[in-house]
Amino acid sequence: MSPSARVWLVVAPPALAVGAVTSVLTARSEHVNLPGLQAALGALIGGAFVAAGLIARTRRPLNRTGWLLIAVGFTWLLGGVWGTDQSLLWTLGVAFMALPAGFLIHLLLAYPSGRLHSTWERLVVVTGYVLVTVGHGSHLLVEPDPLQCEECPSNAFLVSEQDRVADVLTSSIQIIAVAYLLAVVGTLFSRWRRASPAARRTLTPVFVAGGATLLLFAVSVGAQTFSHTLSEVTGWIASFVLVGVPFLFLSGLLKSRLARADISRALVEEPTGGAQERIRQLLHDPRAELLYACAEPSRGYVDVDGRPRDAVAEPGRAVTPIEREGRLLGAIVHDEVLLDEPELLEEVAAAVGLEIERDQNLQALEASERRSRALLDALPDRIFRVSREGIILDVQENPGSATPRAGLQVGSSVYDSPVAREVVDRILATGKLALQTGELKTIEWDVVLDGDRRHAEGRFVPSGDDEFLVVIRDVTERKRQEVEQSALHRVALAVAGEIRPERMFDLVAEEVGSVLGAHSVSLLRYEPGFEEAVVVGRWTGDGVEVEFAAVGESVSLVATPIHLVYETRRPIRVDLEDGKTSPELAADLRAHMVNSVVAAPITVSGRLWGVVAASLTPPHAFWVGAEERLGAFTRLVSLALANEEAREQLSASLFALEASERRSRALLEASPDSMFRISRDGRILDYRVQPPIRIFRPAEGMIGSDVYDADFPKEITARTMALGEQALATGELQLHEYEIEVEGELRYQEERITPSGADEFVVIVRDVTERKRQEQELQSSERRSRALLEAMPDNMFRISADGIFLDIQETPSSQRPVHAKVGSSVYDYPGAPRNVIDRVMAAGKRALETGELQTIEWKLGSEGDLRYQEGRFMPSGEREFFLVVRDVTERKRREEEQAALHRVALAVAGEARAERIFDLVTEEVGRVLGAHGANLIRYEPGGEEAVIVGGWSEPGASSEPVGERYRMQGGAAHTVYRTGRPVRFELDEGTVPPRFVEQMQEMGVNSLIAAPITVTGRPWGAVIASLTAPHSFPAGAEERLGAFTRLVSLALANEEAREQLAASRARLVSAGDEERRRLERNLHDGAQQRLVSVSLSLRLAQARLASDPAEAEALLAGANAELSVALEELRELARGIHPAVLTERGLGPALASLADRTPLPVEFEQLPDERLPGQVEAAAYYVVSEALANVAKYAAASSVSVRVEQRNGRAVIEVVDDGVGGAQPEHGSGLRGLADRVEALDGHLAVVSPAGKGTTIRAEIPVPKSPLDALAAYVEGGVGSPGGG
Amino acid sequence: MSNVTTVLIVDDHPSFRGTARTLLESEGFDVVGEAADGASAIQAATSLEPDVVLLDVHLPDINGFKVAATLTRNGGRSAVIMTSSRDARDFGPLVEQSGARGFIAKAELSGATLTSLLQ
Repeated sequence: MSPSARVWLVVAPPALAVGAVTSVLTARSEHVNLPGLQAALGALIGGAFVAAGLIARTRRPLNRTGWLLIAVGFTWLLGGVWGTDQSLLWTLGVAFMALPAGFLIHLLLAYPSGRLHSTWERLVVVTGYVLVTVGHGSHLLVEPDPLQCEECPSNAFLVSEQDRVADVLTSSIQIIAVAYLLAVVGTLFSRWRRASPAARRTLTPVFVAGGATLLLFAVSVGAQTFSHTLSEVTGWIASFVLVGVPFLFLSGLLKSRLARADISRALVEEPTGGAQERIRQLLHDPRAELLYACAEPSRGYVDVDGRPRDAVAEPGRAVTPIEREGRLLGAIVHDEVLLDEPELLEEVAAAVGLEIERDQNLQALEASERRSRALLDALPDRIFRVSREGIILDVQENPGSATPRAGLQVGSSVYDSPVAREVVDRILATGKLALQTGELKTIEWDVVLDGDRRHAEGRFVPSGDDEFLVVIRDVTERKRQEVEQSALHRVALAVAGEIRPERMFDLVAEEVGSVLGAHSVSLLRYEPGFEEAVVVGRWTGDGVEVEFAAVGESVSLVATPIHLVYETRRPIRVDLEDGKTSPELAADLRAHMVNSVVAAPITVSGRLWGVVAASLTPPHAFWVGAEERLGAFTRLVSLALANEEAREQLSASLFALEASERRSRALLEASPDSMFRISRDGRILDYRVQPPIRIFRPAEGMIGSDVYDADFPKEITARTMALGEQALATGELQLHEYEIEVEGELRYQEERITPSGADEFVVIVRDVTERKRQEQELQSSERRSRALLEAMPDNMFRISADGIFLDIQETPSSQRPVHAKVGSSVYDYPGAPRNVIDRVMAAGKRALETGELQTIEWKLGSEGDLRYQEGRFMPSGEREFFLVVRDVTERKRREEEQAALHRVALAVAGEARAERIFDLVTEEVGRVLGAHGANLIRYEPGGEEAVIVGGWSEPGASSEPVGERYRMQGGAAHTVYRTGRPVRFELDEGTVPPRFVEQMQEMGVNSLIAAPITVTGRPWGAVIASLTAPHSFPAGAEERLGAFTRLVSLALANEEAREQLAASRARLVSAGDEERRRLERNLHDGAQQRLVSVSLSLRLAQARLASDPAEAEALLAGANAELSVALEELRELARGIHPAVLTERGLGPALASLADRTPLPVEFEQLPDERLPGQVEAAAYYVVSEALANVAKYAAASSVSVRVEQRNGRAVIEVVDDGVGGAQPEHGSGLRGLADRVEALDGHLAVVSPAGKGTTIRAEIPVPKSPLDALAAYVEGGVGSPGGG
Repeated sequence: MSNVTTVLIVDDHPSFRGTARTLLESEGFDVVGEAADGASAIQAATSLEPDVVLLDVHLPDINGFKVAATLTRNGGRSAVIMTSSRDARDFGPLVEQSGARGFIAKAELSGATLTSLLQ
């Protein structure tokens, strides 16, 4: 049972019973005049008060007026027992006869709230109760006939009959009662006078009727002593009037006029309890709840703490929706008795609705901006396809791009773009580099478009043999935001650290200066009247000279940008050169040497406090939107100042508390709305204009004037009047919204028109410009978002924190169609593994927690169709995030391929053995291309057979063993051998030579690619990769294979070079050994033998000297001759080791001595002027020596010419004969040894010897600079360095 | 056995053969023959059966040690003395292994050194 029903049950039956009993007693009374009428009147009055009280109690459960009404009625009915003829009951009835008057006085004074407001009122009421009980009852003790009625029963309370005392007492009480009643009436009148017009409308009827009743009772009581008739008559009149009084109370109470005043007050005061608390106060329902409607109607409501709620009322509760312009914003859950007060509910819902809408607009705007930003972050701005020559082949412009369009058409040259020529050069060079390397290249550049410096990032990828793609992203915002965010962060830290305002002003000025690239920044505080402002903070860039007031000085605002801020209350920008600046303003800027100014207002608690202004000297200008950026800083300043103000307010709040009642009265009068009371015939009856409504400048004598005479558009006035007529006709609230130009600015106003009398209505005017602007901004922001969404190449999702798809945007060209519906759960996404979804949700939550972009990658699909996706997460609301999914399979493949190539290249560079590289290459190729198997083969001489030298296969797959030799028989390897190019065989596409089809089928191979390995221009082998049915290699796989085989070629060339070098070294060593052996033999066979002979001859001669002197002499002569030959042979031998003439005199004389020993004419065409380094001279000498020896032995030549010259840092040695030719350098160790000797010096030996056409031997040997030469070159400023050798 | 020791000189250098013959004959040896290479040395030694074969290590056809081994293997009656313009240390144990009686450096050749090796 509801509380109100219980009240009815408790009160109504006893009241009925008492009423019935006393009515019967009165009707059958013998001492009552007109007993029937008395009985009826008594029951009517008592019943009316009880009934009105019960209704009031039900409708206004928290208002005591109902109880007081019931008390009046009940005591009135109880007082009816005086009609009885029984003495005790009659005496009791008389004793309490006056009690209803006490309650009535209480009721009147406490109306309409049911509470007494002042000590005086409480005193009056208490006095009343004392008078009607003690005062009235006391004279029963001494007065035997208190009612002056002879038929009445005897006084049961009579203590002693004392006429004198009784008369004095009765007269005193009567005088006191009359005086008291007059005092009550006076109090009521005073309250009425102090009441507001709205309150008076409620108070008047009740006070008039109640006051009149009291007056009549006063007359009736006062007249008792001198005119019984007058007393009787006025008593009757009072009783009749009293019948209507409770209904007047009731009607006044339920009109809710004052409830409305409460709403206005609540809106003005904005108590800290929040909207729900205010609703509870306004509805007098402590359990009332405010629910917010979710953006998607299907998702229902949330309560003020954000918990989901059903707007289904429990028993005894009711739901009132909050709507604005047909849109559901929320709901109020309240006591169902409030349904009887639709006006109150409507007012509260409208007031709260306005507030919610304002908040929602702000939130929606923020959310929309966040989404836009998330999209911009995730979006490439613009894509161009450009040929190698710089011709635009294709343009994909992004309509949502922040940058101005480049204006480039298909077919035009990139040099037609607005960016600087050197930038275009860089762009083309980078494009060519991308083409050359096949890799993604990224560069950044600046471009000035329409005076606005933008920062662009270009990503270059080859898109064909002679064309590349440039994806240009505008990163200006990102760059600026980075700088700006850190600056804001510093300021915010300072604000949070409760820095003193003076210090903060300078900090803000400095940060604003650096973020906006300003030359000068000032913070100014407006002086009252906004004619002047005081500089409170100042910053000037290094080396900048700007004439402006210093901190503490005051400046006049006439014709300044700062005044413009005051006028518009918005961030502004003034550019001297844009032609829009007024002459006065331009003069002001020139006077301060300023070219461009941005400024933004600082608002504290809704009041314009000051301004931040930044300036640039000529010829610079701020970038577009700089003024809006400034706003972010001024908001922080506002916050800091509000903090400061709040601290000050806190200390003042104790005083404020005392004055709170006075203040609330004043607030009632100072409702935020402008109001006009207008008569039906168009006269202004009353008005009040509050800022920011500035249309009707209050003029003297406006009251009583015609509404059409006001300075206001006539058509708007006409519409207001028509709606006023409608309000009067229907009694319903009318809404009127319009735009109007106020002092050059377009503003939106809302009128609420409600009847205020039979022929008048009230127009409440509100300025709703701010709300409208928010709505418009929101709309345009959403349009931008939509445009971006549609232009996106990626699939996009908006997902709630609990994993529900809120929005899905699928790109038509997407490689992966979306298989989900809005409202479904991400966990139900078909084909997505659970761990991927878990990672997605975790990243989304991380984005929500940190507020930062999160990026993760995952794999989807299976072998053969494995795709990589990248997800970027940004928060798009409190409990939802934005997910942009991009297919990055290609990029991923490229990355893996690059890594694989890198590993192979490292192995090659690390001089790994060829066998190791072969296996590595096949494995990397297999993995990168997703092959089932890969082989590396070497061609056998003749190109008919090949040997497998490296192999890799997927675990479990069969493979050919390394070392196996097979016939190529027209397969892929054979085709590569013949063409020298990569090939692809696809069984499905019929690209396989007929005789190879069967072989592929036998092996179960469906797709096969091969690329050549070439060493020093000759086919060496191939890498072959294969896939079994039904898979196929992706397009271009064979070309990518080529990248690997090129590395193998390189490795093999290295290997071959290494082998040749080793062989050359070995030959040089063995040639040296052989030479030494020859020398030893020559010494042994020649000079040594001769010396042995000489030794023996000398010994023999010695032995014969005495016996046979003649023979001894002959022996000595022989020994002497032998010794001469030995000496000559030793000289010859030494010359063979290293010609002394070469060491001592150089190449020319050495070659001349060679020529002398050559049996045919030698002609020297040219010889070097200077000495060459020793090893070069020696090599040249032996080349000529060997060549001449060969000529003499084999050539059958008639002449030979020799030339040695130094050219371009090289020694060139040439020996040409006119002999038979046909020399074969491979055969014969002489020439081979020469080549080794020359190559050991990094030189090169060539033998040209066509049969019958003579022989030319030509050697080229680099001549290293001597350290001294290098030093000299260095000192003279030439190239090279002292250490260069 | 007569008192005079017979000698076969084997060397590819004629000047050495001439000087050695003069030297040895002047000291009472009987130079019964000369050979310029290994093959003719074996032939001459077989037919002449000298007391001593003065054998050069370096011969144009067959290594002197092999010639020495051939001459001494079947218990031939000639004593083989190796000679060379090189030092004995260059050959080490090769001389003894070949079956030769000893080694004389060419520069130290004399009747006395030869006789001392034969005793």
